Amino acid sequence: MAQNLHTDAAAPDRERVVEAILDLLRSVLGADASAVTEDAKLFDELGLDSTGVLDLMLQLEDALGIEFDTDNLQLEHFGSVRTLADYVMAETGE
Amino acid sequence: MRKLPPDFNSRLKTMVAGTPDASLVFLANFEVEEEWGRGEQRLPRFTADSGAALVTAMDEFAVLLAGPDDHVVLKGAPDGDYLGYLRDLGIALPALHPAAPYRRTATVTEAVLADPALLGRLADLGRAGCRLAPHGVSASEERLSERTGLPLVAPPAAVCRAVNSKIYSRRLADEAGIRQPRGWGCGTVTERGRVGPEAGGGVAGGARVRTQEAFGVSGKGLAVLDSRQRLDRLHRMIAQRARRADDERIAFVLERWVDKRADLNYQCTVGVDGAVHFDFVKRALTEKGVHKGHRMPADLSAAQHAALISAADAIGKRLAADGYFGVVGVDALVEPDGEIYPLIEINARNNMSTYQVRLQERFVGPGRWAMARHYPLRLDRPVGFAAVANAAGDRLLRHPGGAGLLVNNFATVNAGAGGDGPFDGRLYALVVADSVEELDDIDATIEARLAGLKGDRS
Repeated sequence: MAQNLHTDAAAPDRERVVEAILDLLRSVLGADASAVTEDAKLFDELGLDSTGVLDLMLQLEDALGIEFDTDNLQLEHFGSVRTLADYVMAETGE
Repeated sequence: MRKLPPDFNSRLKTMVAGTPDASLVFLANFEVEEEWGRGEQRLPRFTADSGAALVTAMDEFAVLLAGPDDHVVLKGAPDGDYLGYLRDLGIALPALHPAAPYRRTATVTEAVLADPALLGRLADLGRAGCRLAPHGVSASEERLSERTGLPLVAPPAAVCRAVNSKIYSRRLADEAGIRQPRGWGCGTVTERGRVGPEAGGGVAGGARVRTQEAFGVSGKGLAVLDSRQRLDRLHRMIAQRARRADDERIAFVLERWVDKRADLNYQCTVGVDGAVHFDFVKRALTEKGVHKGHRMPADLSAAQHAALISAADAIGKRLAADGYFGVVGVDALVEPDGEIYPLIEINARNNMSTYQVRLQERFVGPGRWAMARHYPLRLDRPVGFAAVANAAGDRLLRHPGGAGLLVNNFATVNAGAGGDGPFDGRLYALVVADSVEELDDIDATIEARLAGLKGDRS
């Protein structure tokens, strides 16, 4: 389970999570804004690679104020924006 | 010093086996670092099953390192049309020994160890005087040597592992006076915590810091961060993993990122007698910041070249003193002002470039240019070499002296097949031409022609 570092804050809602992921993909991967949809495949369509996953994860933690339990993270979670958002929501208990 | 043969295969044998006539059994166990790094704390890693299938299929590169008197053990039999193409080019191929059954994600060493009939044939080769020449030596290759009686023409796994640590590499550079980026080797969590403030100190000013597993595979197990917060978070992550394993010991290096004009990769060979031979240098090609391949010649000034040769000599001598002999690849870089950092990382094992040398000798030659790269493929179905050759058309290299695409591994094209739906493949090749312009033109043509490839209909 992810640790919420904003102890006085509510867990992030899904919309905020999706928006944070989309923002990061645009800035980290330089992805074309119009190409980044919830179902865009991070590896195949947006050019994420195995090194970029860790960077993306750390920046996502920063953006959402949480820390993932990295032992639970699997490659499948980084399939698309949707799978990643689902993972974050499950981890933050929403 | 004795005179060494000019061709790489004979020179390698002379330097590591004492005679150019040695008969070697080559085994290209790429990413042997996975074995060297077993038990070490790692950064979170996300590897697909298809990734393992593809990496382990790189074993086929060995076919073009071995000579006609050598042997190569493989995970599976190469495409018959591909072998025919190589023979038509006039390449005398070694004896090939594929393991059975084909095990998709197993390493070549695991595949061979699981094939009793092949182990028997290798034992026959051992009795006939052949010796085992792996890509790099870990405990698994030592086991293969023991099971078959094939003596290794390489140092013990413990030596190979030790000299491939990036902490060792940094220490060697310091002790030999070789210029390297500011950095720190961390052998314990406490040590990592102690260097953290200094390493992260420049980050606020826009610097970037690379955190890298000391035993990581090249290009993997690393993070380049420009935020103190994320650097600290990475430290907590590593510390947490170490705590769970109840072991303070870690093996990481932290290094300040330096701006560069170009990445270089050079190779030397260290003989059993401690002699060091500088083999070649190549320039890495990047496209939109992503590694694309290598170009040769590296187009360096005489002074830059001399700096690399001098560093190679110092590195090779120190490796020899520490019990290592064999092929050594070194990553280096050229700064924007042309200054050289001659040692970024030592890979004391074969490198991708090692497997290109025989092709270079035969097809590139003085005055010509070559680019080594892979073409990513997205296939619906497995594709045969004949279809790839057909797609490349008149841009396929067909004879020595010609220009075009020279395929040097075909197993990686279809290695990812076997699951549901489309899969990723890689076509590894050299592109050979008489000028840089022609090189780029052929490369662009090949890329366009391969993009239409979807797989054989059968």
